Amino acid sequence: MRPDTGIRIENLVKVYRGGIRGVDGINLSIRQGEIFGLIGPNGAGKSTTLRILATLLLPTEGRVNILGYDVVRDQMRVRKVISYLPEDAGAYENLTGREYLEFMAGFYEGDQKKMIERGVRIANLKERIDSRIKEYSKGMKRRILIARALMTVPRVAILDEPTAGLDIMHGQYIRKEIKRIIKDTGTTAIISSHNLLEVEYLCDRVSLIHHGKIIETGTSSELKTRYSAINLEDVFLKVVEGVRDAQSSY
Amino acid sequence: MPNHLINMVKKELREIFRDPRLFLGMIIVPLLIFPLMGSAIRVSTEATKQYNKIDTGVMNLDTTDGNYSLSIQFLTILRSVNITAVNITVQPVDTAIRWCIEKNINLLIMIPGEFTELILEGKSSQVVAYQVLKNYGLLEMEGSTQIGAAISAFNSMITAERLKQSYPNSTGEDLLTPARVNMKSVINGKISDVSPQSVITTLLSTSMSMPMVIMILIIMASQLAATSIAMEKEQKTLEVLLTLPIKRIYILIGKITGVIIVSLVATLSYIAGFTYYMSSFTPDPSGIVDLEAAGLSPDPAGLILMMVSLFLSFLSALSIAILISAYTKDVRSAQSLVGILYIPIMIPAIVLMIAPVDILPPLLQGVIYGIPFSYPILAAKAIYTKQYLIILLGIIYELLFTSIILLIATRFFASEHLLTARLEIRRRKKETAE
Repeated sequence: MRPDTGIRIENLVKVYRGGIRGVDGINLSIRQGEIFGLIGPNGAGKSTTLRILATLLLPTEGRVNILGYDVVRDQMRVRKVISYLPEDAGAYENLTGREYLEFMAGFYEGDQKKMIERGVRIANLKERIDSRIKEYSKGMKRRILIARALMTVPRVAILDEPTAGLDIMHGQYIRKEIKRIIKDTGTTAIISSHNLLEVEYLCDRVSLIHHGKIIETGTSSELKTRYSAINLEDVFLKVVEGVRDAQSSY
Repeated sequence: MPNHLINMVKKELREIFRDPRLFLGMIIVPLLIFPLMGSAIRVSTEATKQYNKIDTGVMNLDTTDGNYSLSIQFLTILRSVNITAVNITVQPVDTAIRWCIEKNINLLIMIPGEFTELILEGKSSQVVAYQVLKNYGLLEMEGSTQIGAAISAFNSMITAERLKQSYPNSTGEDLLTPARVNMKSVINGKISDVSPQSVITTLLSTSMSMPMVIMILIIMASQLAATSIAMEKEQKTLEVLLTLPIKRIYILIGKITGVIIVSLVATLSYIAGFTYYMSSFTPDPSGIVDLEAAGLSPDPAGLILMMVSLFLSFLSALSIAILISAYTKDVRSAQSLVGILYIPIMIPAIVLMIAPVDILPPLLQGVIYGIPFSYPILAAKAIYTKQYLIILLGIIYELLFTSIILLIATRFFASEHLLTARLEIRRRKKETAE
């Protein structure tokens, strides 16, 4: 593994009980400080891949390394360097936003006070930071969750649909914050999203995943040139249709 | 890392104490319900006391002269049992009853004309009592009970007087009960003046209430533990929690510790409410035995052993509850599913409340000894009788059982099954549908 590799995935396979192949032989290498996008239709294997990276699921086959730590053998070390934001995450309803950030910061080494201050700033909830989370709107909840994920300045951020549920204004604010924090701190990030404009804005490189396999990888401009497409959405549709055509002719 | 554990416990306590469903149900309700029940009992008792001062119409047809009249003596005894006699001169009985109803007097006693004469001749005479039934409640039986007591006292008095004529130097009590028994108890080799019946009754009341309390406590704590893990799933906070740099065992212990602390607060609330409730009953002083004076008080070592046994029971019940609830998707399903655990909790509590374990059929004995929740209940009685061996053996068994359950729970928490158990079930269902 090269010394500047942030995430390395080799022949990753995840077979669920019942034989369903969630991920079917993925290979990826993400550089440290790179923001990497994972796009694909529902059920393609994006969330399964991210869950394996986050040490929630165990791979059936293959190896995954994060900053040189194996996600199976060195789980606790991996957990110290990552921050994972699931797609449909929730927060403790009976805590205030600030208490939630305090609770989460309590598990990390370093200046926890600074972490919390950073979290409060990212969430940008003003005086509502001291209200109970059950009184928050869906968008406010998502903001506190993103703040939690980024306040620790993780070495690797694993973000599944980070701006899902946010309105245009807050979505844009959070996207800018994600990009600023990640670029300022040299964090490696892997982001899954259905919002292809977001992926294009945030990510240095993108992989297209379909039926548990990576079918294309490159920068947004490389992919657009390769498929003579006007944007990533166009690339996505052409690639998916291409796979479908190939399968039907076969 | 103890800091991580403290952080986890703090979060658990905040979550539970701020959840109105749990806070109201476990802490506030017992503090309100029991005192309310107690107040209701006090009010009813006061009402009963008022009713006990029974106004009774008396139709005294006894014609014997006042100085020799036994009916006068009978009326004196009636007054001693709280009956206020109102003399009625109207006749016949139907008219007297109507008069009583008009005056709101619900009991009428008719003493026959030959009352004294027949008794003095060595024959029996019959007093007739008429109870006017209005509410058909238990209190309307009180009049006949008191008249029965008065007649019994009157008969004893007459019998004693008759016997005295033959034994002028004896007391009435000696004549009525010529042979008596003075039962004493031998407790731990020492003679005590307290009767075995009183000792056993007092001990049973203690050993019967203890299983109930232990059963309620364990059930309550199991519900809370199941809710705690199910809430993480329902609120979708579990995934993030499992990716934090905290050992899974700390998550498990943090949850169990939080539940134990809340259960202790809830227990204090129950005890406070229940003590007030129990104070509403006027105890019969003759039935209470000072177990300490009788040599049956538990010593500190016994109490510590019982607490250890109870703690281990708690740990195993909570670990099982958490394991069960890990397979559910929300709080409601977790609370329903954890109901399975109530069966082994309730069986020993109910069985041991009724009978001691050594007189049970061998199969049932095996079941009781096999259930770890039996041991704190067995210990609750054994600490009085100083049978520490059964407590110690129970603790060893509970320790083994709890260690195995905790090991399984820790393994489960460290595996991906905590997250996927339900997903797999759902997926299987989907596959079947397809």
